Amino acid sequence: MPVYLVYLLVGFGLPVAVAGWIARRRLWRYRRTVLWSLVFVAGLGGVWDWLACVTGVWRYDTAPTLGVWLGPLPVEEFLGFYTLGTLWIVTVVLWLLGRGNDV
Amino acid sequence: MFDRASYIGYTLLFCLPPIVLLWLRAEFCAVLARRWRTIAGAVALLTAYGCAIWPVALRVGAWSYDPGKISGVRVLGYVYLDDVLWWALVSFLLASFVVLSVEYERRGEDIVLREIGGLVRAFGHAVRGLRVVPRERNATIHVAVSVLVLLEALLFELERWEWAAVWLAIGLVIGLELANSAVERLAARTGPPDPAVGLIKDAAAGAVLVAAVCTALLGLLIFLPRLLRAVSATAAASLLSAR
Repeated sequence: MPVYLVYLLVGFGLPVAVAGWIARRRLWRYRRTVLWSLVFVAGLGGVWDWLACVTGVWRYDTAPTLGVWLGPLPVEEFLGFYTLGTLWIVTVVLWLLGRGNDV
Repeated sequence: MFDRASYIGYTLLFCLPPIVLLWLRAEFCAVLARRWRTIAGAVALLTAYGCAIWPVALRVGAWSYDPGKISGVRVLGYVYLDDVLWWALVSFLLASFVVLSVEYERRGEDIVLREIGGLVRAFGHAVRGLRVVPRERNATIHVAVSVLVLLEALLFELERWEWAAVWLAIGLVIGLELANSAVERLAARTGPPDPAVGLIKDAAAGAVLVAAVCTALLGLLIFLPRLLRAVSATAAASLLSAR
């Protein structure tokens, strides 16, 4: 079982699905912000993740993965962590902005 | 690189520069400061959530840390301090960006494209500014001397730090010369001769002089010993061949 993917789907996928549905109008309205956030996290976060892996700070091979690796990073990192993790953070911020009637 | 502070070190390394970039600009800071409650709320909520689920990842083996590269300090005996800091800084950075970008998107403006466009235009102006060099006597002299120095540097096979010093000195002198040219051209457009404007021009020229003198001293420090060694070696060789 791809433990990391399951973890990401439960840890980020479920909250994103629920919060994303609630804030779907705001997510669509501010889609440029969402897209730029994804681009920045994949760019900056990708370099950070790669550097941390090659210098041995953290590693992803302690549990079964999907088996597709991009250098030291499993493909789940791109599919799940960068995408769902970023969407989770952006959704929470948009939801809080909406609660304050700021958006 | 940072041993037990590696995780925290990387977090600071990748988060602090973009945070400074967002918060130092007065225009952005004004927007972010107005929404500080939203940002603080997002940081608190996301950090609490992240701290709750991160240790689970370690427990199920989704990833693991090298014990020699993390602080090892556990907050409330549950989550690593390194993870708490990661969540706090990452969510602060992303929340700041989202708040800022949303504010501009509401005005129909893409802040990222606007900033990239501004940078590209500024770079274009700067490159066009280099057209001043062939029109200025002193600037052409500085460029010619720089070519000479670079050729000497190649010839004498300088150390890495010496190359760095040479490039820095060349950049400083030519850069200041361009700034001096800009001041002179601006002063020429201010109308009849004015002692105050003359003093400003002299001060700009003085800045170039200080940089040029210091660069000449640096050049002597780097090249003179090598030049003397080369000359004495050649003299010795010609003396030997004469005998």
